[in-house]
Amino acid sequence: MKKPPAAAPVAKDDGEGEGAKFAMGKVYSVKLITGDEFNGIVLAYDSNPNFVSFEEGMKSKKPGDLKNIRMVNANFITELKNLGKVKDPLAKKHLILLDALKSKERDAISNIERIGIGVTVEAQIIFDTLSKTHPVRWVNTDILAMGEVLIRSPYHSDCVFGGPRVVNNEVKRVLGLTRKKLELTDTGDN
Amino acid sequence: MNNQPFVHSSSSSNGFPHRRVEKVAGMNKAQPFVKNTEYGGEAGSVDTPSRQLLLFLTTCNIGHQVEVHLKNGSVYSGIFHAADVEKDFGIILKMASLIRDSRGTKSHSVLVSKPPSKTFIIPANELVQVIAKDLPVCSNNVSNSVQSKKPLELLTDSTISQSYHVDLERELKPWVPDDDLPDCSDLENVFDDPWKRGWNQFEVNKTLFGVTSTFDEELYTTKLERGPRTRELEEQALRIAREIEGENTRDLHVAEERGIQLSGKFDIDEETKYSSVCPHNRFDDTFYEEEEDILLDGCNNLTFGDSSASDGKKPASTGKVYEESWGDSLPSWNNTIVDQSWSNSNKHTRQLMSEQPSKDFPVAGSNIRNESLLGEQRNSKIVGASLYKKPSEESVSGLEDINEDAATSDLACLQLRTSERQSSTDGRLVSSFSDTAKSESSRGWPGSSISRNSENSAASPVSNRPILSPSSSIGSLSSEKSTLNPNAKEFKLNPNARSFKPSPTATRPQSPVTDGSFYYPPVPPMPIHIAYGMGAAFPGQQPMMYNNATQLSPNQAYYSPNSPQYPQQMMVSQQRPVLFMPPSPYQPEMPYKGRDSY
Repeated sequence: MKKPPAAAPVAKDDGEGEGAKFAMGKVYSVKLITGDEFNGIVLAYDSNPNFVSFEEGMKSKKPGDLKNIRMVNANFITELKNLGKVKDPLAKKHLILLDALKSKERDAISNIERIGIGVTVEAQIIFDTLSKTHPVRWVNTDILAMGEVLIRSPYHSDCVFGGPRVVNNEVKRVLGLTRKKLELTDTGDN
Repeated sequence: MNNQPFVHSSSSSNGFPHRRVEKVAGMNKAQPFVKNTEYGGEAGSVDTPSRQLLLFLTTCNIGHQVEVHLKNGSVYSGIFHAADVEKDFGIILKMASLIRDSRGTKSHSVLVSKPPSKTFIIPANELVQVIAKDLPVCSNNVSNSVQSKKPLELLTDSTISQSYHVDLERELKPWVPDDDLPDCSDLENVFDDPWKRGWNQFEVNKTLFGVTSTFDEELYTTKLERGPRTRELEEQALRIAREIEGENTRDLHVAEERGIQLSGKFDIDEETKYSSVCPHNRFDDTFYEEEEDILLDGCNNLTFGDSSASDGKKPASTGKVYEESWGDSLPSWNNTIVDQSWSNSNKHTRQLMSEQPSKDFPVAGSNIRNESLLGEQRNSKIVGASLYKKPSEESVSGLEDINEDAATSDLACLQLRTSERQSSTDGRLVSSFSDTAKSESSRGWPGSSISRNSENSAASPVSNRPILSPSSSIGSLSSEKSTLNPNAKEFKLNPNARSFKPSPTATRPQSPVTDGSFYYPPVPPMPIHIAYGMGAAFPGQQPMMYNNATQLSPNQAYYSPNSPQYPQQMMVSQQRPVLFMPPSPYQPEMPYKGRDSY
């Protein structure tokens, strides 16, 4: 993202006071109506939505570091205590790789989707191991493998249902191996 | 995904599902933050830098797991998906779940008690803050590992096979001895110098095993005079040592030892420094690898004493040194040549240049002595080098033929090289050589061959084929002159030559002949038997003798004389060791010398 050319931003009167208050680099101790408190460095502010972006902490970190960023609705700030100023909390040039962000989102979503709801730890472990090599997903508390074969609780080899015979056998085999590898008891026939 | 009506979790505490539909459109427009181009700005929005930054930071949140605090005190955790930047910055989360509800009670099993909301919209007036922990805020000059992280779909084998229970990494802590370990203080100074420790290995050996040391330093080195003059001698030795060590050197390796920083540029990597492969050479690499070490040794004897591994370091200065030492013997050697030559100075070629004239210019007074060493070494590589003896046209034509085989770098190569680099000065360079050569022809210099050589190099300036200079070969042969047959014709490799076929009319014994040199009497039980002598190779030698076919039993393998054969003897006999004694003029190391039919 490039900054707009310095020539003539449409200077709407956004209330000089607010702009100055949230000038970049200012360090504040912030209190919110929720009761939350923190110290932060102002990174950005816009009066239109009246949101402030803070970097948590009092000292500016190096540009490469990870920061805790708080986007705060300024309407809900109850108290501001000025703690000073820092110079250039953000690097000059900013770069956003949108595709990378999108894939990051996809990954994050799929990560969360991997977590079964209300399943046992054992089931989760089996699921995770299977997912490394096969497409699996949760259907309630059952594991749906290859889109066709359902592995029901308690996830033994004899709990494999559905799908074409070949796929079914494949899933059975993989499940058996997985259990063996994870050293789980296998009461079903392989 | 934004176009679809949202699936709200009915458990959303603030119950704002349907009012938000109209906001969807607004969010759609705002959602693709195309930040990698200049932000055009929406109508009505204020295009301040601060707003830009806010948008930037908001965009950075995308895909990140954030914590959202709402006005009523509830806290949600989810993946930041979008924000309505045009309006009031309401946001959308994906896979959101309640962490702490409005009453303040923490929800323990956050994600597993109930399914997360696939999409969760939070209007701005409910939104107090969005916390993104450990957010990588990327800038141009910072390489962001998160953004370049491999997607989850790409699993490496190691991650796949890794057991679920294994810790990925442990935090390493330095070892601290337990308190109850015995205190082995005498082991603490194990790495001290031997005389500091309280342990003398020789004494111990003597005591324990009765072994006495009989080491006498003087057996291995010069006896030091220890007497009244000791101090004097020591001082002298130190002085000499200092002198030597302080000497300026151009050798990278020696310089490093002495701590002198030779090269100005620090981008000489390890390979350049320590490899024995000469960089920038245009000819056969393998040749250089083998020769390099030898040449390194040889270099030390040169006046110039340099062995640079990197090119282009010693231009005119070295050249001038050359010039000085050979001033009188090479009158036509002008500066330009030297400069050109050394602009990409390669020690190898320099060396060859140095040695070559010195051979025939005893007045040069340079300390160049190693040409014989080099020549011999080169011999091993060059098939035909030893054949070049006399200033005859034949030797030069052999040059051309050998072109393909020989992989040597030489004076001619220097010509070639410089001619490649500065083609404009080709003629000059080469001609001066030939002038030089011609002026010395009276000394037995192969003037004609040089001039032909110059033709060669001028004709094919950009070919990479090394042209063997007869001069060097002559130099190399100086030690072998006596053994070479001055009248023998030189070997020309003719790839189209027919293989040798002994003619049936050649004298061929019908029965075993007791002749000492070539005879290999047949013994029936012998499995294979071939004896092809070198007879035909030598003019005037006795004809080759080989076994009569009739004497071999049919089941014995036998090489028909008509089949293409090279005159190598293959003696396979388990039963009778036969010594092959070549006739006297046969020289084992040059089997192909002067062969006619080839």
